[in-house]
Amino acid sequence: MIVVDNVVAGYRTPAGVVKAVDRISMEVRDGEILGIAGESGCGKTTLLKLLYGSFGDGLEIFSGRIYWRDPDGGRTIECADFHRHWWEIFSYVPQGSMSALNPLMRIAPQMLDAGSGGARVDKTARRERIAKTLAELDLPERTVRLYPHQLSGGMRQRVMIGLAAYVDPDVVLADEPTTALDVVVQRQILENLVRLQRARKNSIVIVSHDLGLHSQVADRVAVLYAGRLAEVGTADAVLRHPAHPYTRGLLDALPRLGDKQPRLGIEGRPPDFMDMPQGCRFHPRCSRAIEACGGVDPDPSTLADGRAAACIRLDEAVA
Amino acid sequence: MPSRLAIGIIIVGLIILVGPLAAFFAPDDPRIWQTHPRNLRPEVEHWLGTTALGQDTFWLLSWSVRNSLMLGVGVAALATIIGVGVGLLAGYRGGPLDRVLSFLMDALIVIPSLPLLILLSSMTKGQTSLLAVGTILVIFNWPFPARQIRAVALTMRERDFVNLAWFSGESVGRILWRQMVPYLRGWAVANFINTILVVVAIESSLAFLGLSNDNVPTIGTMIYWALKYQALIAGRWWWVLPPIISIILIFVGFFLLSNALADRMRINPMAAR
Amino acid sequence: MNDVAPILEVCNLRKVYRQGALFGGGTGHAALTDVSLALRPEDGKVLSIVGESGSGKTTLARIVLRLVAADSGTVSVAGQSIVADGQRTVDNRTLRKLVQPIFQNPFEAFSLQLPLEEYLFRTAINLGETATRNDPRPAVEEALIAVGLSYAKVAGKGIRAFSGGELQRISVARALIAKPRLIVADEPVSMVDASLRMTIVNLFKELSTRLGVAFVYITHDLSTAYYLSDVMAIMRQGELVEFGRPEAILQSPSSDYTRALLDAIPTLDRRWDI
Repeated sequence: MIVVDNVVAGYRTPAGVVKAVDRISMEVRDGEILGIAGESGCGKTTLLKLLYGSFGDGLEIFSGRIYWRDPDGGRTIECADFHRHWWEIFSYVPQGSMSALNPLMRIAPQMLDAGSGGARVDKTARRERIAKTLAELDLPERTVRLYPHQLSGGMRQRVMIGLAAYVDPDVVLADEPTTALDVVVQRQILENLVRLQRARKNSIVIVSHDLGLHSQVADRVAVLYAGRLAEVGTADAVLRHPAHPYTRGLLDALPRLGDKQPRLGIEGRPPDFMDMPQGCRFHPRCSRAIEACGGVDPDPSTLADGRAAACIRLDEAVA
Repeated sequence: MPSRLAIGIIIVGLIILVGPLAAFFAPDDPRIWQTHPRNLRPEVEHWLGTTALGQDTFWLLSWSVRNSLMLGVGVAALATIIGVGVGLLAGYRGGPLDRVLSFLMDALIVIPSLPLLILLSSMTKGQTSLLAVGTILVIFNWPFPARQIRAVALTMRERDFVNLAWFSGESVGRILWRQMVPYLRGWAVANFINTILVVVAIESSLAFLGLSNDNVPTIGTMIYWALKYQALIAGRWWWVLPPIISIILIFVGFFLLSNALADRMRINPMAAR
Repeated sequence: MNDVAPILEVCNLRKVYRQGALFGGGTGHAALTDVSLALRPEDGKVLSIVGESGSGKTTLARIVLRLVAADSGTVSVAGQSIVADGQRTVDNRTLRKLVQPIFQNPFEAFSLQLPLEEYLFRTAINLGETATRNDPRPAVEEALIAVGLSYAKVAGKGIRAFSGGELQRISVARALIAKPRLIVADEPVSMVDASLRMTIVNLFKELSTRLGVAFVYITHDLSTAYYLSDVMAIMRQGELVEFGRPEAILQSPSSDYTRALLDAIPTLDRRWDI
């Protein structure tokens, strides 16, 4: 399990400090598929990088704590040390990673390379694991002997997922794993991912702006807005009975196939980091905003069904 | 460590000070022989002494730098304007017009201008006017910016906002001028300054070989005369060193300027934001 | 141009992109193979063309906009032929009054170096009627109001002052100024945030009803296409596989591909059986 405890993190830029993630507390539970949803600028990619412990490009934690706890209770690892366990406890499928494969090498050596850091398992065992994982992803056995350009985009993405999964990590973090893929291929890959998770019982975190995707594969969903957590709970609760006005607005804005009922977008636009509204960050665009909303930036408060939403008008919320 | 831009500006400023600016204040025509005692060392009356021909070295240098720069800037301005115009047209229009213009560009680039000028000068026995030299240099230098701008225009042609301007009914001229040119400033400036340097170099080479027009003193002719009168052997550094240093400073100063400016003005034509 | 003729009619359009050939030959990629479709006035005002990458939908849009030349086939807008067998059959000026584009990337649609209003004013001056040519300001203001903005909001500002959604709206306003018969929108909301998309889509709906402008809406998103369009075309690898009213296609898809597509869309209502 990964615990995020009141974390403020972001980047120092010439224009000032950008808090891409601003006081977020949440967790990635053992054996769950967690979906992180939100629009551009909400902080979801930063949050994923934090969960992975990737601070290479100037990302800093300004306050708060992130740590991983062994499912069997035992040890904990602080975020700063996550990188020592990359491809052992944590693995990452970055956005657009179908293009991340070395075009000059066949698949097998690239996959063997990736897992060699952990050095717990010898080469033969690794080869077996690779074969097993690729089979679970519906990739033909000969894939390992091919070059990346001989595979389709969907197959390459599955190779990237296989790369992340075959080392049997505790947490797989995927950033928009199916964007740029055909809808039919997307479904196959998502099914593969879910089956993989069911077999290995690890945790998967998927970042995607597509709420439909989350509704199909996620156990729990966290919705981010402007660096803050708007709502988090089971996928069923959040996506079918949203408590936060932003989640509700997003869902209302999604057309359903077979339904021509009029839908509305949300007026205004996501705020600029340099120009955050006072109080609740969503209130300038919120149809349910009252005067008090401009005065307080609420943390998520827990509701009866176990989920949490950051809105001061929750108790009046309509299911 | 001061920035390249700062150093470049200082050096170029110095050159302009000593050259075109100071030239205004020359007490008399420095070209005229025997105005002063010959071969004087640098002193209060003559900051850089005098030449073997009785000219004040400093004022001669000043006029020479001015003339070299004037030629350089004049040719560069014309060549850049023509080059950008032709490049834009060829790149944007494409088709047969582009093929013809590209062929012309490539042909002119392949022909080396210095040997041609040497030929011309030796035929006219060193009486080619600076205007003729300048014209030839323009003809042979516009293709360089043209080719570069053409390449940029080819990429920019595909961009949505250029198509949008077309759908807004804009004429080709307006599209080139309003949509594309603002993105080319960096390239245009870089080409302009580089051409200045090319012209100064070629003219100096021509003069050094004794093929330039004597009536118009340039840095090159100054070096030529200094060497002709054995200034180097006789140890008269004040005659031969200043023009050499001037050329070096011109190159270094303008290059730094061009580099720094191009960086500042460059907008990646492929960037979305 | 008459009002009974189809708003858009495409017949036997073919386009092959060739690669790697010096003197003909080389490998060809068939972007469009014998595509024919029509949007008639009685069908409605919005035609959506749905397809994944490689389906040819963008090529089709670019051929209608004459940004790309077809190898063969014809295109007419409002009864007026604009392309026939790879040749242009109408001058540029008339074309601009027949079709106008909206591009996919709102941040590429305008130069970074110019104020946005320049595009609006120039469209009015170049393509407007005589009154507008002399005084373009009212036409610009009217168009901006029609898309839910105002001249005050846009005056003097460049691209960086606006969100993707606002920029697309400004693009629509620009297109409206030319008073075209057809607006071809190439994936106009795919690069716009989800919360802002519906505003644009609804705008298209409203404008088509209120002003009678027809839209060709190119997208990979079947759900939005279903919501917006009166007629829907589904393309796959250069061929038209489905054409008709969205409800009819949903009820009884005629091709396996359509069925696979419908199954694969991750909807919020039905959960996949994994």
